[in-house]
Amino acid sequence: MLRDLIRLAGKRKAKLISSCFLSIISSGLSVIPFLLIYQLLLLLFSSNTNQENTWFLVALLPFVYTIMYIVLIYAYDLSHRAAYEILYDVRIELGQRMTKLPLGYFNEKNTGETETIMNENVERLEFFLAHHLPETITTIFVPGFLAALLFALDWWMAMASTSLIIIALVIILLNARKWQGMVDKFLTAQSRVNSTIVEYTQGIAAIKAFNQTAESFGKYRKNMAMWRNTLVKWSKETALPFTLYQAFITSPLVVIIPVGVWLYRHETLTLEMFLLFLLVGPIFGNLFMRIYQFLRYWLEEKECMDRVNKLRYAKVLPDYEEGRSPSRFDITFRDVSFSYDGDEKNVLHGINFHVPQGTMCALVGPSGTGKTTIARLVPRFWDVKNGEILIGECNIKDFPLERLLSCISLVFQEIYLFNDTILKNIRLGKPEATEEEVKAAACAARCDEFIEKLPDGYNTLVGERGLGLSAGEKQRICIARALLKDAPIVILDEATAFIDPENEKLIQEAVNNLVKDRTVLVIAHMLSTITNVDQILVVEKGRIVERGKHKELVKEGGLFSRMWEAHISALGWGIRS
Amino acid sequence: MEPFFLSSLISASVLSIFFLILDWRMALAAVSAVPLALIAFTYADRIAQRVTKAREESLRRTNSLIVEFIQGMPVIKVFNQVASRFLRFKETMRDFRDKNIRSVVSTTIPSMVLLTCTSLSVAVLLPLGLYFYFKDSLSLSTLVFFIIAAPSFSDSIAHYLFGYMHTKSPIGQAMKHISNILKEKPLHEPEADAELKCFDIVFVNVSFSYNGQPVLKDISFEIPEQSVTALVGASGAGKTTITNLIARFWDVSSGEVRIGGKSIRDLKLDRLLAYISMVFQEVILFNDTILENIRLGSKDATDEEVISAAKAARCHEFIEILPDGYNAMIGERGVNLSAGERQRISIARAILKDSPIIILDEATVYIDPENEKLIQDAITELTKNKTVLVIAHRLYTITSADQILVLDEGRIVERSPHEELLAANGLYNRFWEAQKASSGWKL
Amino acid sequence: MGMFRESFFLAGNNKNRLKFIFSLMALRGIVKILPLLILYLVVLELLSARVDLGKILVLTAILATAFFVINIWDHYLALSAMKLGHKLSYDIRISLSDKLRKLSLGFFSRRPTG
Repeated sequence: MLRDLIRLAGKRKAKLISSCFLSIISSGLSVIPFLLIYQLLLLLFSSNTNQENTWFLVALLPFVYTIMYIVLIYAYDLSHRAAYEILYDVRIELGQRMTKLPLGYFNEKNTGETETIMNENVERLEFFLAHHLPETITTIFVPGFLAALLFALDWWMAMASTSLIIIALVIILLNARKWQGMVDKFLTAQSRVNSTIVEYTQGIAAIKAFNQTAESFGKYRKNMAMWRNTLVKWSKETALPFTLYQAFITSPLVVIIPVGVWLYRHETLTLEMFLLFLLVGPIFGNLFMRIYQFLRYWLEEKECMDRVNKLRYAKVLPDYEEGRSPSRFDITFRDVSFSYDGDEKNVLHGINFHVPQGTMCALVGPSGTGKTTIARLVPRFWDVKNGEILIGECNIKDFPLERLLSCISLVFQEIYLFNDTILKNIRLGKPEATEEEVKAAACAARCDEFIEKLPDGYNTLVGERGLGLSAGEKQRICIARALLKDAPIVILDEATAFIDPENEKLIQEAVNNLVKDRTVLVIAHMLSTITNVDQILVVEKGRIVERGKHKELVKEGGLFSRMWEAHISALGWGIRS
Repeated sequence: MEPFFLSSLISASVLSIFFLILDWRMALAAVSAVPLALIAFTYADRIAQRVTKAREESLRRTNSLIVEFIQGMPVIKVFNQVASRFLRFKETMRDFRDKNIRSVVSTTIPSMVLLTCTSLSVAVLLPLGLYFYFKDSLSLSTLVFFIIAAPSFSDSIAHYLFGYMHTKSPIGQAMKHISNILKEKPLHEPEADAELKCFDIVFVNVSFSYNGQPVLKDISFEIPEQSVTALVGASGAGKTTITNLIARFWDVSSGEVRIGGKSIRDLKLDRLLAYISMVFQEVILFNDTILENIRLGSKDATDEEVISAAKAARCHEFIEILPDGYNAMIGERGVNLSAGERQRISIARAILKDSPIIILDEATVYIDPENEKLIQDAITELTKNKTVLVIAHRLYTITSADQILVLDEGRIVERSPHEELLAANGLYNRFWEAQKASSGWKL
Repeated sequence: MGMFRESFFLAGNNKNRLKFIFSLMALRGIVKILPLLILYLVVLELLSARVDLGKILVLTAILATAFFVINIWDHYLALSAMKLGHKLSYDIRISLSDKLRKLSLGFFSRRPTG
């Protein structure tokens, strides 16, 4: 844990350590008031009390308190600064790491997880670095210094004061082995509840439509009940050791008084000393109350730190800074096999094909057979497992990633627009483009008409916080981006959602402009759109099972011709016709 | 948690009563720290709140930028925007760091004042007690007791105040949110429950605004029982809103929606929803078995009934070849279904529900031809002898519908069967021509 | 005090149980200072001219018993408070979900899910 921490702190180590050091000093100072009170008692019980000395001691007391608080607050200030600076460093580092991860990393699951790590888990580290770390230090060192003081004053009485606490600590340590498991159980129950709630709120439309009241929505109820029972059980399990612990640390007086009386009677203990121990005894025990809490925090925060570190050391895509750009743009797959990370089973088996420059190649097949995976291997969303992919004569791994990506335009089903103006969203395709160039691209992508109708035209904000554009409009903005980029290779997921006939027609025109004279790899769904392409690859279960032109494939009587027939008959269908 | 603060509060009060019995002057001195601590506390609290606001604003920005940065990463990389986006990322993170540090600095002094005030009782008690002791108006034993008891006293107070401050922020806010939702006004529901015998749907001068913007303007139409009506229009014309109003996802702004001659506001919500099956554009499946996901349609259905619905919706074939068949789990931890399969499961649900009214967002995503065919078969099963309202995208699927309502910007601009609409040469005809052209499109 | 009122609103049917826990907590606050009282008596005894050892030992015994009782009390109180807490949040979640079902769908576009 400490090693992880130092690694995390990086450049801010000095600040963090000095904050810890200051916390230790303030812990040391916090013992002084007890010493002063002891002196005070000595004075009060002496036969001729010196009033001046007493007043001096009393005046010293607030003074010590003030210094102690100043040191303490300065330590907090430092630890907060260090914490936020570390948080900043970690986030920047994670951001940098993210730009180097393979594109394939950003699937739905990873994206969500990464968001949680960067937002919540990193945030959680703040609690740890700024609060729990210095507080842990004070909770350990204040009782430590106090114990040292007690032992320096009177060995026997110190033993009496600490004996019960030592028993309490032994109980906790014996229990500590079970802690990890208990915290795990708790966290699992918690996360299950959270996902149930999210599912419930997101599925509320379906729940309403199917008339599932909360009572009968059994799963929700069941999960909540399970969570409740786990927690009740969990608190029962943890309650007994906790009670024992608390019982022992709160009752040192029970030992202090008889031992003190006995020593007092045997004249080996002064009255003043006895009174001091009576004063310190209950306070000393209370100092240990919080240790129990911190144990739990530490376990939870370690989990967060592990998750952050896991992302910090995630595998990046091998890449070069310098290198050449592709000069020819044919795409060749040679014996390519592929499996997702950590998955034994291959998704693609021995894929071979060649798309000459300036021609069009369509991928067709049932859903989930690997069409999209093939298309995504070209821009190195992932790297192939076996075989190689060439652009021109060169393996795509030999180009710097930036150069490779700059010669590929991707138009996919999922559309991402940034919270920014339409102009800037299109300009993403070519940052140095003039406004005229952007407008020309928008025009070619058939966006210009609807954009000009918007209140602020090209300066309208879109995205999450901006204006809601229809799916068709978003799709066309994406095509405009790709047009502006003007890359020689186009990878296209044929426009898929049926929007409305007029939108559909505009998208088609935009796509026609995009694919003109380029090397095109298209994932096709509507078979009628690809009757003219140069070659069709029929993919089934990760293999290319048929290849050729439309006419040849229809004649072959294989999978493609079956799909073609289904397509024709689907076109003739009508509701209740 | 909360009750423990109560206990601290009580401890402090009882202790101060005890002090009062022992020596009223000393008790007063001990209690005098309380108002001071309270003042310091409110002061610290106010400052904290002010800085926290700026900090939270920055936090929100940071969070949404992180989300954008991660979700947009593929786009950023493909368009080689790493450097410039990263710069923006860095700036926002820096802003967040600086806001935080500033908030810490500005709460430093108030928290110091607060700390001093809570320990004040010791600082006040001691000199005062000594003064009385020297003047012989306080016994030594009482003085010693006060010295011993003062820390417990200020501990109790500090515990209460800090605890209060703690719950006030996150937990207190959460409690407020929850209460607000529980107090939120539900849809109006009648006391009496009535059954319907007939299921024609009538819109009478219905208008509906959403967020102050009119979505539907004075819509009137009739859907006779067991007929098929199609809604056609550009996206955003109000097609989905009409269907949502029938199921009372919202209430109309003015006008009335009637089913079987009765305003839907006079029907119990559960009753109304029992009459309607909806097949949505986005299919929502729960992390549960396929069997349970279909059974959502009718919770008392037997396994046999579920299976026969699955057969009618053309799901049976693909379910059977799954390792666990109908007991296969769907979702994160279970099997992944294709879009077409998910769609058919949602149709199976609706078939199982067997309600007299079907609202259908015509299968929308073009998946692959074979799946398409199966979905069409499933829909044919579903719509037999029902009152059907369909949001149509591919016009050739509705050529035989009983009536077609053409919507434009929240109004019905045309209504007739297919052939008549073509002859009218209006908006529908334009759609039809556009569709004909686009279905002949070739790459 | 607004906080207490809010928690009673949320408690709904469990109001009485919550009241019971609250009053136990208040009692706990009183019992907690019992050791201090005993301590006071011990100090008195120590400072008196002639220290009565037996009396101090009796007081210590009382103190030990008090601690014992307090901790047992605390144990059960903490348990039942936690149990009630879990039960409460369970009930709140169920009634929330039921409430969500009755609200118009428009509610969900005004309020982010989460």
